[in-house]
Amino acid sequence: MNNRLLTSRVLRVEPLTTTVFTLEMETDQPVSVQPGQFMMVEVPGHFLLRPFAPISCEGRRITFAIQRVGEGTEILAGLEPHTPLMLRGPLGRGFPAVEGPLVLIGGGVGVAPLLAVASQLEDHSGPVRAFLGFNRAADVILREEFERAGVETTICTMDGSLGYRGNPVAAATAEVPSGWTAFACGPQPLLQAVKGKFARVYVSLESHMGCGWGVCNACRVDRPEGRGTLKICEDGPVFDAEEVELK
Amino acid sequence: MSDLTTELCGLKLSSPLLTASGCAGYGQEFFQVVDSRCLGAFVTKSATLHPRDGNEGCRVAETPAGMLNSIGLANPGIERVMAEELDNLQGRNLPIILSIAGFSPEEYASCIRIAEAHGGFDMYELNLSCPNVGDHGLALASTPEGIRTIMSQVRGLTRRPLLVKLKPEVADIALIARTAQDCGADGLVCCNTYTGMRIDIARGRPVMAKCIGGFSGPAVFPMAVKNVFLVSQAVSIPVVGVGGIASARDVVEMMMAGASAVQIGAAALRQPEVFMKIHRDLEALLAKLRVERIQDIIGRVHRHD
Repeated sequence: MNNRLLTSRVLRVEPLTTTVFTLEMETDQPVSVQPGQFMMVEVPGHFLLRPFAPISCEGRRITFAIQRVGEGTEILAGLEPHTPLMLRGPLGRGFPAVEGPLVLIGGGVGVAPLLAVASQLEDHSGPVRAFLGFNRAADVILREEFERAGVETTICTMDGSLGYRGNPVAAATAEVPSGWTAFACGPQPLLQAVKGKFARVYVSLESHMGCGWGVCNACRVDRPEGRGTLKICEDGPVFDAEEVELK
Repeated sequence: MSDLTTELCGLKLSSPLLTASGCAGYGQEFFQVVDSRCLGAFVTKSATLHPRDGNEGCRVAETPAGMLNSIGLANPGIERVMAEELDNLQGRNLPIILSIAGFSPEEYASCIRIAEAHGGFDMYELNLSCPNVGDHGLALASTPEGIRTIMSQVRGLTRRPLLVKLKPEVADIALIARTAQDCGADGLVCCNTYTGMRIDIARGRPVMAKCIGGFSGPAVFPMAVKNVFLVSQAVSIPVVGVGGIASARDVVEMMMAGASAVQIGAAALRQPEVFMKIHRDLEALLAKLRVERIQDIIGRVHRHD
């Protein structure tokens, strides 16, 4: 575990859509975050830090894509450059190193940690495809970044306003052999839908967290067949889909 | 340099700073970040007779200057805690305070019998006041009768000191405290979390699946100081102050109110390094206040009544 306290300052906040923005930070020391790992991010004026998986992390520069869903994320969306923020991490277990064909399936702001995966696949031993799902064309984020990473990217919208009409799991299962490995991040229904559809499926879960580093026990996920619980922050947030109950 | 040693139920503590139950687990993750030399003792997460997964749904929420939790006593059960979890704590030259909880006096008694058979710790904290289980939380600390019932079952089972963790939201906390003392408690922990609730206004539903959770963090600090003041005035056994402590100044205030030691919980979830910072700041603050021994400030405010 690399549970480190970092000081950082805001470099910029930029809207991607009406509800999603990027938060770019500069840390006081280099930080190395594996794709799918997360950082706890201070929200000025709030007590608890919030967990976010970065979309990129290079040296002392770390960038998050964040959706405005409540008071905390609204404050982050309004941060001015140079605002100091406490960061903690990197935390948790990210996506595993895999070989062979790989499909990335994301929904909404859940595409964020998958971009970190896509950006680190230069020497990957097999084809990689991404299926990114959004409600409508205006919600699409990070498409160019996935393409720039060299990943063949299919945009899916529920209303059909751009790309494939329907959810990205349906698109991926239609176009990709079931023997591939899948990495998925997004709303629970998306994760439930992708489970069992590919040879191996790894899902990134989200949860409210108190500490983010394993002591408060707030982020419970159940193991199948009553075999107890796991902590999303410490045992995940990325899990083999067969090892967790997706409710 | 000021002397930070204090004493709790006959145990010498090298620092007045203790973990608060449930905010440092069983030490495994905690000691990767916190220097154990800052601590006077480690208080474990509460163990129950049987393993518990805890509550469903959202178990933590933000509040102004604090947080709500509704974990629901998730723990691997007393047998596994004794056999596996205490390993992380032993060999650190740090007193271990084992927190136990139960759903009946018999469960507390069974936990103590199992713990006594294993050994390897110094003291008990009886969590009689978790707000997050059953319909209204553990209620044994709500009435003098509850305290008498539990203490009559457990007092004779151990010679180790027993701390009773009090419930803050009761009619007369001084009466509960005196009852615990009369029933053989060696010390009191004042107090458990307060209770609170938040509502998700977009959905018009409680944030927590169980609606009400335990309220902690800096917001509760003045209430905790008041309770330590009232309790320490009512008893002669030591009182451990807990609730919203986040700075060296808070530690001094809590000890002046009557605490012999303090526990730090929510502030450490947010930033565990706070233990090192408070320990450092405490020496400087006591020097500024011209206090040579921190024990000299315990209950100072009572001497000005």
